[in-house]
Amino acid sequence: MKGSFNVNTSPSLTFAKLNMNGDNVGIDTGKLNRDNVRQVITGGGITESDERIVIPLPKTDEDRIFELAEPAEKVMRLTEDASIILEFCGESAIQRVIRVASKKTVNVIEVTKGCGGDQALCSTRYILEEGSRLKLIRIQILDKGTLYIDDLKAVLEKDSYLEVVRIDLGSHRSYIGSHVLLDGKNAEYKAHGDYLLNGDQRLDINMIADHIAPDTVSDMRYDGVLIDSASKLFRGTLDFKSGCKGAKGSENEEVILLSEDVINQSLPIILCGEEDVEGNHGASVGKISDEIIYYLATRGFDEESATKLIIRSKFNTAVSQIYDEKIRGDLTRRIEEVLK
Amino acid sequence: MANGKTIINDIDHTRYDFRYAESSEEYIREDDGFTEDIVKRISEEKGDPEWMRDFRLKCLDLYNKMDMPCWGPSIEELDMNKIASYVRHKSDMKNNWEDVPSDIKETFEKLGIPQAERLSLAGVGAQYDSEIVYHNLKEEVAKTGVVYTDIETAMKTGYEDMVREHFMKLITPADHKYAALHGAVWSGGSFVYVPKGVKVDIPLQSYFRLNASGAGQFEHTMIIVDEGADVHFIEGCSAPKYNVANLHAGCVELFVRKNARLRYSTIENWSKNMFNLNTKRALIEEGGKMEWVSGSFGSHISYLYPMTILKGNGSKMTYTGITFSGEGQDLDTGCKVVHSGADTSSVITAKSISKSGGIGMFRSSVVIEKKARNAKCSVSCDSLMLDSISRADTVPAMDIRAYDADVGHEAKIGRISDEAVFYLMSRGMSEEDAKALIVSGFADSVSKELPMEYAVEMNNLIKIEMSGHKA
Repeated sequence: MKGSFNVNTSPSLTFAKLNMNGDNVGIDTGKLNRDNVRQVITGGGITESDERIVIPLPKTDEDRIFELAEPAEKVMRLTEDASIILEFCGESAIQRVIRVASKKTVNVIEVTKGCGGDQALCSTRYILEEGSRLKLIRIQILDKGTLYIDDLKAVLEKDSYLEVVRIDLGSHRSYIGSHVLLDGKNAEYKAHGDYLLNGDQRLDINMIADHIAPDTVSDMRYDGVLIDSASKLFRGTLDFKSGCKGAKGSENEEVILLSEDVINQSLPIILCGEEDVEGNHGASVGKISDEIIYYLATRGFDEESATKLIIRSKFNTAVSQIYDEKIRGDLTRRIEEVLK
Repeated sequence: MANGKTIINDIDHTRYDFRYAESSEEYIREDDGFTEDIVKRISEEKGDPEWMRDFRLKCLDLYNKMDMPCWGPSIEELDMNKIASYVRHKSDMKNNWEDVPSDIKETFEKLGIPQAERLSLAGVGAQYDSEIVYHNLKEEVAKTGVVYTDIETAMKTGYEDMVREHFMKLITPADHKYAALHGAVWSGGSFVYVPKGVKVDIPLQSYFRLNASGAGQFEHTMIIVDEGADVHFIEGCSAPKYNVANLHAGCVELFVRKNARLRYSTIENWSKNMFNLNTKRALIEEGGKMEWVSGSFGSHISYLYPMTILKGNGSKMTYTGITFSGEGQDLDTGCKVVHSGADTSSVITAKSISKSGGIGMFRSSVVIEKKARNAKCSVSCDSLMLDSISRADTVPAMDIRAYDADVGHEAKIGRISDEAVFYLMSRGMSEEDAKALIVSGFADSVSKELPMEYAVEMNNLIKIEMSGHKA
């Protein structure tokens, strides 16, 4: 069944004429086949269950899509490191719940790839139990004809820590949504996304961190490079709810524009209903500074080489965190392909 | 450091909260609501040319068809059937304070307008309810060719073509529902023309007072600063508080020609029953400069985002604004800028203070069009939360389509820093004085942009009284 859905909607709206409050996307849920997605998990300490998890958030259009899609479903509880390959072999949707057991430290690396069709949809709910720590590296290298919707929601209990590192290189249109509830005292959330878009790729991001409990910390950062006629819309929201005393949140963005036809849109929002908090936002958008190019020129780099060097360095921080050598090599190769 | 909390009082509005009863013998008041008959009567009352009458009726039709804005604070409690669109004293506009009706004259004297005119202004316009009641321009300024009058007079004294060429061309009636309403029932306001190369050394000021209960004020301000000219225009506004809603839906259209400069300063102190749905827009040509200075202290609900279109190459804009939201206030303020020309630049500095359940929202948009090569923009917004029953939100949007743009943005929300208070106390200040100094300093970037007497006025408005009560 084909329908129109308003995805990645911002919790607080800007002027309607800017068309940045969400995006209308057509999804044909009738074409989605749950057998078209394969999830390969390696690692120990995985317990599967049929537990129902309800995240206390208002229903969104993304939720409606997944209700209609009848996706493949997985509920897992992790106690040790895991590696996940999520491969779409055709149009499909998958919905997962991942729990990280109390006081456990878990590293998960996940690669989303493939497709061979128009639509790849993934919804994941993370529950971080008290004192747990999850470092999640997510790499998306889907075929460039794909429309990708990634809907992440997470609840962080007391003293838990969630770190999300993500690199988005693939798909034609990507909708990356994340909504993290810092529900327990001292919970901490760190997110760092990198993207490199060329051709007419479009990336639409909607990151939300709700500070609910006292002394919670969030740090969201999204950096990237736009080439050719690529476009990106970043919505980031820090929402300090009444009662989150001592909370600290920051969101930052650095965008490098390399071609005349690129479009960069940003909507960094801070909502504050609590006095005793610190909220910061910073953004820097533009071409690579002439000073840096000049400095590198004095070291023997022409402009093109200098630009490539700077772009590689932007990705190095994220790529170097990938402990799987094969995935790291594949990613580096893809970055080099774009830079050619 | 002492435990407990320093109390910062609300803005003292009592200076502005006085009123005079308006009797039907002395005042003309239209029926409540917005109908075709009412619009026709207003047009007839004002002696509009035919084009303006037709324009008003088209705007009314558009107003009835347009939706309410969906992204800002709720204005559902504003019942448009209980707003009178037009109220005026039966006397005509005067050029001498002595000839102004006594209740109106006393009002403006209490507000200090005649005194300010004598001391520091090149010209003054004073609007009471729907009409300008006083207008005057110093002789030496008038001799330079500067025109400062109300729009209605401008249309009848040789400037009709200029008004027609510019009227609601920058803010079109289709812009939003209340711009359409403004086009239908506008009345009063100011018309300023500064000829080529003329620099007006001291400011012009218009003061808008809405005295009538349950009424709207829809003044239209049009300022044309010709090539190489320079002027500072100050706008003030206030109203007594009523238990029923009042509406302000004015429009300000500013045209800054090549290499001209316009500074537009506003101290807004409407009463807390006011819905302030005002629209301001400026078009800047090559090498021109627009400077907005804005202090928003009053109103129940505000939608206020002065917009600048940097059309000409090398044109510039600065916006410096402060908003103080207290009990019962939801002030949605900010600014918009569109970079259209090459080598354009804009600097936006916004501050907001929220307390006693007040809601302060900074909302902005920065659009850099593809052709705006080498555009530069810097946005900074700081919000200070003085308690946990208030709100301070920021929603800044950026749409950048020029690859060689240079855009920086930073926003901060927080309370008064304990470290700063501690530092000042270690230098011998009391906690109360330290906090007062910090809050004054927070507002300083705006007050220093105002002429001395208005900076003093703003500091009076903030009236930060550090009483040192224990919370």
